[in-house]
Amino acid sequence: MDKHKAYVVSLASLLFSTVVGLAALKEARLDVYVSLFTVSYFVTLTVFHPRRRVPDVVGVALFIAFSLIVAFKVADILLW
Amino acid sequence: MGFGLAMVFFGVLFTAFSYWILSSVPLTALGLACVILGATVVITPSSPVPIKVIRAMVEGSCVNVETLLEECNVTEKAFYLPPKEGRVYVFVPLRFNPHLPDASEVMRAPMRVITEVRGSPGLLIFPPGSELTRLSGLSSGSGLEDALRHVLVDFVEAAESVKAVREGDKVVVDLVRPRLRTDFQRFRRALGSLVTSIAGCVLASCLELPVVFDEEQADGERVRAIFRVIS
Repeated sequence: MDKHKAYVVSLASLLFSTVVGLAALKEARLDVYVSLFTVSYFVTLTVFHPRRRVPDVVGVALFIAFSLIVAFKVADILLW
Repeated sequence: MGFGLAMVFFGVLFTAFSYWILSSVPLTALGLACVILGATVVITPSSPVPIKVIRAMVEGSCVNVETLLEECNVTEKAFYLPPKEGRVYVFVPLRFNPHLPDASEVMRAPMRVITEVRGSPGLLIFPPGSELTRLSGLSSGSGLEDALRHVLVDFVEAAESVKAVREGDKVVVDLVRPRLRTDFQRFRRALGSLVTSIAGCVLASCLELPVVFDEEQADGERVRAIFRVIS
């Protein structure tokens, strides 16, 4: 299997196992899913170093979402 | 790429439906996972060879051609010949000839470095775009623009986009933001710049007819190459 296919298959496995795992644990917070998607995405990115046609918009979007989630959690803790 | 876009589209619909209609967080997350995976497939090119390596090799291979053209003092324009055993060759006349030879004459030229067409000497060389065209797995039934986009944009990533128009015996190829650079003057004069040369190989391969490089105009981030088809 070439690197590109291995990358896509690994990312798909991580994303869908995250959904299955958290659903099995009856997790009902969407931010937990998004945070783990972000971690899965960046782990596969670091392992496979795939090439990109365009700047990595998916990574940027996930990083922004993850940052917002963390910021809200921190604000939640500090304000309460 | 089509699969990735389909997955993004399905994921967006599934996420919206799961969030607002079903009110299910795991299904919403499943939809988001589809969007992420689809978008990743879209932005990840399928070729595993690093594109900078391909570009460096292609640019490097121009040196030999330039040396040969310089040595023979070539001033005429090149004929891109349709593939022989899967490879496109280029015939470059060594002398000015006001009458273009017909397709069958050019295609019958003996396969050697210094060859002849209708008694007129010329060079038969192997351009860098030839092997790229072969390796790209170009299908024989492709349209001109599809074939050029497949090789130049998707396979080599040598340009951001490409358009091609055929008007009679002329083919005009517009390339936006070419990413391959060559400073070889003889090469540029005879075969066009590197992206134009690759385009010439694709045209000869696609049309299965000899194609003459006519002229090239560079305008900022655009390059317009004009070829003439010999039939």
